[in-house]
Amino acid sequence: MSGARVYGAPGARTRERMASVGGPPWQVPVALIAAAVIAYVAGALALLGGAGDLAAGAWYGRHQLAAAHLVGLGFVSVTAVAALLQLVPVLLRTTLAPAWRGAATGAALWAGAAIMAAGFLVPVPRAIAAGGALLAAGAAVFVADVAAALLRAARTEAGPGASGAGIGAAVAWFAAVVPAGAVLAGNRADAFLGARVTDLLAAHAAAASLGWLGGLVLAVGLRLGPMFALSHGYSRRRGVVAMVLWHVATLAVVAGLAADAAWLRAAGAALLTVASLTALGFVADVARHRRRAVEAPILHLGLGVACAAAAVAVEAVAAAGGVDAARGHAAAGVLVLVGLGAGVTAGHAFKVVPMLVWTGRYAARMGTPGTPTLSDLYPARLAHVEPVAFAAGLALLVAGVLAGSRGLAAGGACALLASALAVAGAVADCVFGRGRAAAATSVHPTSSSTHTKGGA
Amino acid sequence: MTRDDAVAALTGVVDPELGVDIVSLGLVYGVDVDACDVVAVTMTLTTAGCPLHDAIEGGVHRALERAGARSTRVDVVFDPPWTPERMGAPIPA
Repeated sequence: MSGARVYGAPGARTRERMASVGGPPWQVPVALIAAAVIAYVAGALALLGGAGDLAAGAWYGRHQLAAAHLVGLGFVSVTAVAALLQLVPVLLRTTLAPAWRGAATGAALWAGAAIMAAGFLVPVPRAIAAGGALLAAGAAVFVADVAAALLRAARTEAGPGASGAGIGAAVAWFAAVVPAGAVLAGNRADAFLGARVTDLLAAHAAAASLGWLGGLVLAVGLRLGPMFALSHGYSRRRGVVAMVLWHVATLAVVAGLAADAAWLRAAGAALLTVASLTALGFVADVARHRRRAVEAPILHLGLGVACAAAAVAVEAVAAAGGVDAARGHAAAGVLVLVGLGAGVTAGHAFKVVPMLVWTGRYAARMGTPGTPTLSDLYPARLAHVEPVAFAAGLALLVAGVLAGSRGLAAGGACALLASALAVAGAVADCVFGRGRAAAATSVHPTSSSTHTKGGA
Repeated sequence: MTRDDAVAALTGVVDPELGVDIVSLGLVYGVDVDACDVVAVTMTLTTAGCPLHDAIEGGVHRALERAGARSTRVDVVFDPPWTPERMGAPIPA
């Protein structure tokens, strides 16, 4: 074709084709995501157990700690490892890690989070230490693998790109959060380094939820959001600006919390509001330019970014004395950890798992009659139910916490548990039900007519 | 094998994400069939770095071979980039 730019010699592996190789066998990320979803359900159960305490403004109880680590580490972080094993070759044109090491890393993070959460719940300090050690080992390998992949990508002509840089920034937060958490788990009462433990805990929670989880959501959403929405003509620059502002704001918030500097916290919160609104503008722009119906990933991305903006607003109201400060902190924490971190992860699981299962089971059959499409594997009914239960549950829980209503908070936590069960059902259906049945039932008329005409 | 046979075979390659065949999507930029039934396809994808790149390219090879091509060549290009406006556009001769 005249004027066409061909990457590589005809028949050779093009640069973009090379970008799609290097992922692990599909069973590795799917198994990690399935395990992560179990942690999500367990975290939602722990949240239900701690809903009453949250409504009383107690954000540092055993149920709350267990829920935060099960959701933030067991669900979101393990899903992130699984997704990055598959996504890094696409984004950075290099592998993240050999499949066995990726699986071991994810398993260590998951087991560490589960043991640690059990240690918080019972409570058993030795279990917290053992889980923390396992977690730290998995995190160290993961951080080293991401850093190495980014360095390899930086040496290439294309570089790591905006998404790669965003992943690097988020992982840098993770690298800081895990050792800080270990120090705090070993010293949960006394002041040290001239700071109160509660200030350091708040800084740790902000770094984990905003820097690691929020930063990762923005970096991955920058690439996957438009891809899943089939969006063209949107402003990518707006997403990049939002990502940069987000990390600067997080730095100010974390430093302000650790140093108990109100002016720094306020500056960070103001910047975070701008970053959230810019990110929301990016998501709206992607949705406006989409060429397909809005599905779970883009819906949750928009909802998650709105939750981040709402968390800042809640903290501002609390600072102005409009609501009890402790309950304001608890509500803001729920909005960021659950609304942004867990929600966006759950939304993307509805698309990522069918894609992985399809690639593993049916990609080699493509071009032959009867091959199922991804939509045959997409659990549409659960994907419609889950965001409704999630949004209602989150709204009720946050309202219950802010109003000091245990009943309202428990009702919200129940709805969130239902939404987590919907995600678990969707994954199980895709792997064991729909994903197997699709092969037997799917017939595409174009395939049939083509091969009749071709006489094959 | 004629060019029409090759194009018809390509309508059997359905984008697994969108559920629409690659010809109707406007992903195929050119199809050439020589006297020895060697088929050369120039095509694009909806997005560069698409994780389904290998699957779609493999599907093109398989569909053409099933339709009678002796050998196949697929060039994936990203210039001009695909836009949804290309859906339904005829393949340039």
